[in-house]
Amino acid sequence: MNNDQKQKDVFAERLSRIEERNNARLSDPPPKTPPKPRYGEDQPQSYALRNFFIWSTIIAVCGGGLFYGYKQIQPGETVSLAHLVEATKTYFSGSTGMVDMTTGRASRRTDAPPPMRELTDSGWTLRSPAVATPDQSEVTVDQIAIGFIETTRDTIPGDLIPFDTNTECTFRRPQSSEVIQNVRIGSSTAETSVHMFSKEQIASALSDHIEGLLTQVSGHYKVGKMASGRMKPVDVFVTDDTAPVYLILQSSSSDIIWNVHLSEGAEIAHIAMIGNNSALVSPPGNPSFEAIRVSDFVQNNEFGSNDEVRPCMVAPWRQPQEHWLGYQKAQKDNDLYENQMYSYNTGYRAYNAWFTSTFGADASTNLTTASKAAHVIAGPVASSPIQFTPFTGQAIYHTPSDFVVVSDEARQESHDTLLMQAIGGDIALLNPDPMEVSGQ
Amino acid sequence: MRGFSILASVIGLAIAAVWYIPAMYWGYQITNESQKMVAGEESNFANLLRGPAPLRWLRDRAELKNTYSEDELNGERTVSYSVSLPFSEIMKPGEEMPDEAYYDLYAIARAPQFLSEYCVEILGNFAKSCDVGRVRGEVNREGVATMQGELNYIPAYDYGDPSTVENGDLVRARVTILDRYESERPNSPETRAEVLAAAITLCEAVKQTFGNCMITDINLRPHTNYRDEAEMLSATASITILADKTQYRSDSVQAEVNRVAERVL
Repeated sequence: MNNDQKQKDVFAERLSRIEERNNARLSDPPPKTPPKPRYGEDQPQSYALRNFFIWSTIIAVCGGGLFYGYKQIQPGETVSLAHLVEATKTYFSGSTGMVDMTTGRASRRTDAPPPMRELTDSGWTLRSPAVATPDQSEVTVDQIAIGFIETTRDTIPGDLIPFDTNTECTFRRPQSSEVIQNVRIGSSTAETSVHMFSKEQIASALSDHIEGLLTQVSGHYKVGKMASGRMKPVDVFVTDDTAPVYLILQSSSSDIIWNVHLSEGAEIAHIAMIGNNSALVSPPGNPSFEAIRVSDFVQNNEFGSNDEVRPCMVAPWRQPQEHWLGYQKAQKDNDLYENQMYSYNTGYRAYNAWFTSTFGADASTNLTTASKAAHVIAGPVASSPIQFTPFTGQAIYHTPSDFVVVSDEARQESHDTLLMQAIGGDIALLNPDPMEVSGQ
Repeated sequence: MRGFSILASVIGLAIAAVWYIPAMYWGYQITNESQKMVAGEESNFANLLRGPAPLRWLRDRAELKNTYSEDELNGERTVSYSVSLPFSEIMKPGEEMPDEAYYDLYAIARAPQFLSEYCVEILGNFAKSCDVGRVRGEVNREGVATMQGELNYIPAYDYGDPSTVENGDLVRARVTILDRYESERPNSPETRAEVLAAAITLCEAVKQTFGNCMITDINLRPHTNYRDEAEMLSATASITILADKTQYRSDSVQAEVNRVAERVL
């Protein structure tokens, strides 16, 4: 077979194979699924898959929101549309304030009085007449005292008598015959008419006021700024009559005027105060007292500076408790609260080291603590009522301050006087009239 | 926190209502109109583009109003200046020296008295009205009180007609008039007047291109020449132009202003 013949045979074989295949295709049954439409062909399309993805996404997003929202609900709380509607309605009306969606309780943005007892990230906030107790039991001031009169911004005390703070971070050590009673709070929920502030604070406030005044923006937020330094009152009911009481009063974030009341049979041997500006209503029985100003020894807690155990770490940190909301959030791996509780714990450890070396007792000894409170008990709840000594007209011993004024009017006057001196005596010089080209 | 969550949701919905929905509607309209325009049909595209785009409208409204207000002194048009004096010289004769804690307060409280004197210098060709605006004051360890402030002004020069600009967007540009390291000009009334005149000249030239030019800040910065302790002056000018945003970008405006400044200053 020559090559030409060979090629013809191969070609003929190909032709017959193609013909055979074409015949077979014609005889095949039609395909079960329709061919895919080509792009641009006007044929009906199915959107089932696309719709499936869209609805899956919507359901996943909504479901996720509901799931995480549900996780936020505390046990025993309920959610209803009525709560949500009420919350929205009251928020916009502003008349009765915001209502918590899950509990229906009024929150802080409200004209209604805030709750007497409120659990916060750092423990209980107790508003008058609630009293902080060592075991967190619910006690009100009328249960333990007679003649109670609430201290307010309008309550005017008697003489204001300064006393020197300790220049070293030492206190008189408790004697073996004395019992320590220990009060440590963040702040108070009440207010007094007394303001204490420094020259630097009043100068800074007046500088802001001038800056705001000259911006030519009406109602600028800095206009009228004043140094505050409003002192807050805390009533301390000392009920421990087992021995003369060595009373340690500590506040971590406010300037407090402590007003000590004694139950029958109780006696105070000494009062040690730790805070920034501290003051003491003339105490019953005239015990000795002394105070440390925290800012004299400890800087603000920046970059964990309070974490270090050192000889004079007098910032009175409070140890986190299981009932704190912040503690519970930290347990749920909330990074923010984990860090916050870490700071509380390390700060407390350092403070406790100083406390123990200074007083010879652990910082948790006979402790009454709260995030904020206006009244506290140092000791057990007394069986017989305590005679309440009102703030009005009482002499107040206070740590020294550049300005100590009583009433908002006196505070305003101190600012006005200094402002006039700083300007040079003529208020018109502070904001001279605009100048214009003559004839304008 | 749950109260806060509700508040956040309400605010979110409010934002959606006042911004997102109008923005989407605006986008829908402008898309339709642009298609009509491309198809050669009658279109409202230009008006929509010129009109207040959502959010931009909110942002620019006060700034526009303040920048071009003819009767209101405000912080959008300023001449910034500072005066340094020994603290004793800001006190009146016989006046008792205050506690050191109040030095800064005295400096800021007396700054308007000292800075308002410089209003006299800018009235005339540059400004027809002037008032002391934002001030700061501090006293250093050497007892030198530095009083800084902004003199707000209403322009006396012709800043052009921004109302004719279509698709207007406020664009800022900054030009050095007296360089701190190159210029050897003393801090004197004459030098300060020259700086104001230079800024007006610059704006006149910029106006040829953009049709308008507002001097929004002239920053006069006195400094000490360490060779001979003489007080020298450096200065920059910030100008604002209402430019057609479909034609100019901020960097191209700055480049054009730089070219103009090289030519006229």
